[in-house]
Amino acid sequence: MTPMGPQKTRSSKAKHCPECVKVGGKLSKVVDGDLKPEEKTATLKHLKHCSSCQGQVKAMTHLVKACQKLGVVKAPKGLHQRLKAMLMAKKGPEKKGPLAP
Amino acid sequence: MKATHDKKQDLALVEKVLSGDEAAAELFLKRYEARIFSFAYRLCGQRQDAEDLTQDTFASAFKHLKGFRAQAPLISWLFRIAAHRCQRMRRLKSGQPRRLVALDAPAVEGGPLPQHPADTRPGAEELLMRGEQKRWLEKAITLLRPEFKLVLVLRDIEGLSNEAVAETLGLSVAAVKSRLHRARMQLKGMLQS
Repeated sequence: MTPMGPQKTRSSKAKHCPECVKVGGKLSKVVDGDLKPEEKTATLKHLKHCSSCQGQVKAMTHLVKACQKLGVVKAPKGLHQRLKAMLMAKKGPEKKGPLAP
Repeated sequence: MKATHDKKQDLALVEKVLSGDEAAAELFLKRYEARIFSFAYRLCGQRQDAEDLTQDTFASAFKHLKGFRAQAPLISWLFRIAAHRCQRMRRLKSGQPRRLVALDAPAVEGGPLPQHPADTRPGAEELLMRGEQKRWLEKAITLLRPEFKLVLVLRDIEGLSNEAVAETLGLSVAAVKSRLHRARMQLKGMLQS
């Protein structure tokens, strides 16, 4: 599958707006609250007025939250027993040794 | 404080396992097998491969347990082993015909086909947490480029910090942030398309 960046889902105005392009490259930083002080003011100022970028931030926030809520994939039945058996089998010969009774 | 406590706990558990304490080995497995299987499944996208990778990871972990120094939490150490074994598995399989997984294939074998979120409702992101979107998201994650997938799974799903992911994968924090951003953008693009 071809990786698809945000430009595929953005309006043509957003595609050509240099500010939108800049913010698009910082979406993760915005969502993680990881913007450097010097980029924070300009980014937040742009976000306040650009509905397209607001939508991108919202979409990214939902995506990250969704990932965080995915949780653990259910392991197959018997995996624990198979792992235990494998480990015991590996341990076996070391414990007994050639001269063990 | 917490890190010191976890470190002590990890070292105590490892010591017991090394001394041949079966109950400790059982605890070790119970504590970590579900997360490692889960991690492996998300890297491989196939349950059988994930099970093989989980076994491989624990076999390797027990073999090298003496070398565990608790510089990182035990779970990060296991993630690192799983990531390495997965890379190895991928290399070995690269000579074989690749199993292509269609985006509309069942996320879990035997399960119903997930529908494309856009086919049924607008605003896919807002509905991600419903069952079908969850399965769709799982499937989309398996389609990410391996180096992006690793970072995204460790950071956004397993909840490791950027620093812990960097340490686990032997990357710089800047590289982790960059890969994470690209992974999220790729994922967002897939889900919005």
